[in-house]
Amino acid sequence: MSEPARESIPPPRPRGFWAEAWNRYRRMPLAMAALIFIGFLAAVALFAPAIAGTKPVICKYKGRLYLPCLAYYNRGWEPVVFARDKFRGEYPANLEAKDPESWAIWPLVFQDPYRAVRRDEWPGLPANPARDQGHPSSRNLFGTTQTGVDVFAKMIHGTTVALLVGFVSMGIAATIGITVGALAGYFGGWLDVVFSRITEVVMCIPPLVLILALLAIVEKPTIWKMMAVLGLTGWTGISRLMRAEFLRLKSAEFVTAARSVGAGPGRIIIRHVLPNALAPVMVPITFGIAAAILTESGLSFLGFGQPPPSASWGSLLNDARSNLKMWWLVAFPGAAIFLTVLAFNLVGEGLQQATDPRLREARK
Amino acid sequence: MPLLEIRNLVTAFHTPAGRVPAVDGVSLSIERGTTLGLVGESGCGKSVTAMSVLGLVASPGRIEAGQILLDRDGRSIDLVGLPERQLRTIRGGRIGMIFQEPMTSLNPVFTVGNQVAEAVRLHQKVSRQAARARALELLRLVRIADPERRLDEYPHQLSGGMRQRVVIAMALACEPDLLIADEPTTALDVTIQAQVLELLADLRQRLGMAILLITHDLGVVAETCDEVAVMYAGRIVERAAAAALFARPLHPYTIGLLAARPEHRRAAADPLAAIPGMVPQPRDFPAGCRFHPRCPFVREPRCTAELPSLRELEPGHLVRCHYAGDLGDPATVPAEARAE
Amino acid sequence: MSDATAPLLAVSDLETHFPIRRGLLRRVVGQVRAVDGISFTIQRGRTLGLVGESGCGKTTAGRSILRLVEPTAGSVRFAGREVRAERPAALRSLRRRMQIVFQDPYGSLNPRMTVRALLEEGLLVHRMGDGRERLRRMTAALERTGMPAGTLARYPHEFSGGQRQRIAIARALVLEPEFLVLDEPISALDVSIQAQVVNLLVELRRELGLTYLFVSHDLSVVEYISDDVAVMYLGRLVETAPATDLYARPLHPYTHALFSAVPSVEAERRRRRIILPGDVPSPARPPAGCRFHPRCPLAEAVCREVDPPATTIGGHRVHCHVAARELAAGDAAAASQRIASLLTAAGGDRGEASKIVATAATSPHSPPGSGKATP
Repeated sequence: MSEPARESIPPPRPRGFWAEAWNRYRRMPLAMAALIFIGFLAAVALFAPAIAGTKPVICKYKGRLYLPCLAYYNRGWEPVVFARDKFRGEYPANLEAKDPESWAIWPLVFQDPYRAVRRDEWPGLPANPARDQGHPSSRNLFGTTQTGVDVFAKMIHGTTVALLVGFVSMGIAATIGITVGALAGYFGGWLDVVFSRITEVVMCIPPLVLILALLAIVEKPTIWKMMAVLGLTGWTGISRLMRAEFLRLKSAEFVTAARSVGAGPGRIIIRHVLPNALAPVMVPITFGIAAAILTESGLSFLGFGQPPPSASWGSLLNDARSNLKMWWLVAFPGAAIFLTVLAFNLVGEGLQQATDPRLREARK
Repeated sequence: MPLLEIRNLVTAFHTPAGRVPAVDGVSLSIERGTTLGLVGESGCGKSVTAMSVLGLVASPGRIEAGQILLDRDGRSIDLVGLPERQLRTIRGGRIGMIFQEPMTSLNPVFTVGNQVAEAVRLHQKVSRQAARARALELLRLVRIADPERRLDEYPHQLSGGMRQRVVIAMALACEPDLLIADEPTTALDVTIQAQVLELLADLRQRLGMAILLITHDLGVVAETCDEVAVMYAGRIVERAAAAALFARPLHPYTIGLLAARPEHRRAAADPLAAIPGMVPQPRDFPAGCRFHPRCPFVREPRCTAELPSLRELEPGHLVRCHYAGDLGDPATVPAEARAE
Repeated sequence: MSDATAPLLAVSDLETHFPIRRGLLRRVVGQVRAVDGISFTIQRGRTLGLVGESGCGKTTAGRSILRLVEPTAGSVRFAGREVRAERPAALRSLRRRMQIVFQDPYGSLNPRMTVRALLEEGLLVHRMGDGRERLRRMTAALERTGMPAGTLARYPHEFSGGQRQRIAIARALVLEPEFLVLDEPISALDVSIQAQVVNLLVELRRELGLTYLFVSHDLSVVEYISDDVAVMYLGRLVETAPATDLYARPLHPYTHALFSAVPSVEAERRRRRIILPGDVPSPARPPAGCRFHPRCPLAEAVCREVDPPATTIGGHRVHCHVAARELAAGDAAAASQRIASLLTAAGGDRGEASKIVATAATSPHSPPGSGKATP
């Protein structure tokens, strides 16, 4: 038996690449704060209907349990019985009236992001003030819009929109970008030529112009179509980065080692190169989420987003355009957009530092 | 009085994982015109020692203790704690340094002549033409053929051996008293290495320069150095004149290194006498003698508990070992049991 | 080197050229002749050492044999089968029997994969056994290389260079190959670890009956571990002989120079140093005639024009006009001595020899053939 290397095996600790990166990330206070903030936003986005809404979170009506608040996610999910019984979206009074044994658990704030609350809709609650009367008050924390819609409710539900836009559009962009870049970088040759030219063509078109053109073609600009469009135009940077990483890694010695053992190209790309190539790409993806949110807000602000009543933060800014005296229409959504984009940027920078290969421990 | 004297140098790195003493109490001296070889494996601290001399240790590393005394016409200056401005006059001026990788020592976007001339102009107030002329002279000094043409070539147009000569030329620009060469030939082919070592020997003779040669190659040391110091885990473990060290090595580590070479074995079929175990990482330094887990002559309890000090066993021959000179037979106990 | 039984590996006139492309349309303007016609055989159970300096093509040669780099001409016969002619599926199964250990213990192990995943890959690709069987094989391979079973759960970066190289060797062994290409396996390791790994390789060879192609620039290790040694220069083999023969009686001037250049602790092993002028020429434009002639202190007119053919005496093969002449006049020992003294005389004033550099040969952008020989 040859000289033992036994005595110097280090004790077991989670030493995967991402585990180490997380360790490093944890020690950066600003990045952690940003991550916690995003976590908070995610929670708000997930539970938006339970935080602000006019539909009960859960109620018992005529002997059965329903979750009317889910209608905020998808209009089709509103329990049919309420339409049949002619609730017309007003729950408190109707529930009492049509079924004395009913009970309901209500959202924290009784306001609706899509319409003004009418007088006595909730017993004792006056109607939402409209026009310039709607400054922030104890009933409308962030004030109301021109048409009396509560801003707080809009902001809460807008969080869902913002995060969805960020993640879905970047998800689409990342998928396209990674696939194109990986194939172009690994196989080279004609595939690379074709893919690179396509990438360059898409890059050359000013993104905003492309987005607006696509939105104009699409008949009804819904938030989903907006996300698809953002995704289809935002993949080029990622694809170039992936291509560069693949070019570099395909001649790495461990790839040659894998080939020497008999692995084929599919296995090599997915098991060997991709895990090593993903780390640098995480950072632009994070920045891309911030950019997507900003772009969507900008488009909504300019009026190209969802038609009203929409719950996006940008649409609030759109409202503010014609009503500059209503400062609450600018301050709150503005602050929200700023903080969210800042948070994602900080996370991106934190990721960059945490995954810096130079900081990897290497023993000689 | 020696040209350079290092006394009890301690250079440590303050990393998030803790304090790493890369150089842990090193003392050396180099006389004018002689070559001192500093031998050791990766991680032993030899490069950090060299960088400490010129104050080039990168943060989070810092010189924490000790003195580095440079003799200047009878007066000695302590380089530790010297203000940056004065250090800069010494770097290149009195002490030159060359590194292992000639490609990264040279800036790829400037011509060779440009860089050598810059080295000249940094320490001497001369005109551009004068600097260029001196650069030409230096290229001739390091025996680069066709130097006029080389002046205007870029580093990538030169071979590895030539680039190393250019780097040497830059280090010699102001005729320093001491040249620190950090693994200057490790990255070169053996025939090119022979050329470069030949050149260094010749230059040493002609310019009366002292050389601190850092390497892991014992053969190189044997053929070029007057004095040798062996480093292990941040400390000097043996120090002697080259002839004495190779004729009668006294420290178990030195003995082990020499015995591990293929040339050393007696019968062709013998296995190589490898040193078991590995060089310890600074955070894993054992108690007592740092070499004891790998030492075939280890004896309890002194070796495992007490740190040996550097003793002069024979005139001019220092060893850091409790039992040097009286080692006895290597233990027959297998390495597994020994190396706990 | 020539036996009645068929050799395990027979390489014949192997060439690997890389095209040099310029311009927008990427026209081929020349070839880098990394491997330019090498031939050798290795009998089963023996070790051939392949030595040479950087740029001589030895690493490319090792990889070409395994077709990790596609050779452009010649033949590689492994166990009677022509490797170059195999289709991908057959090549894959052939790969099981021929493995490689790389130089860089840091780069050759995927940092994102656990040791288990790295070792298991080959077994999965070749469908060798179920989960339990694979685990057994992996643990056995690791044991053989002196690493405990707990290594499997760790990542490569948790280990030192020497340990990683053991893992790399275990990876090569897990498929139970017959033939191993060792591409500078110890150059990147610390000196005190090198001996450990060399001992390991020797032990494995004995236990498992392996055949090695040991590529290295470290002459003393090659002498120790090899049965036969081939010296490579600029894509060609200049001399091939049994190890003891080569070291005792080198014939080619380059071999002499190579041996003499190695610095040694033992004064008696130090040879009279023969300093070669200049640097290795570019493999894109090898010199005409004998490739070594621009740097050779003994170059004659014929050397500049005619590529020297092989001269064989006993198991010792050399490509040199001067050596051929000396061999015709005496035996190998005498010839070797005479060449040594001629070289020392020619490069007498070592200071001068270093000055005269084959200028054209050192710059990759200069035209070929304009190198000057030493006077």
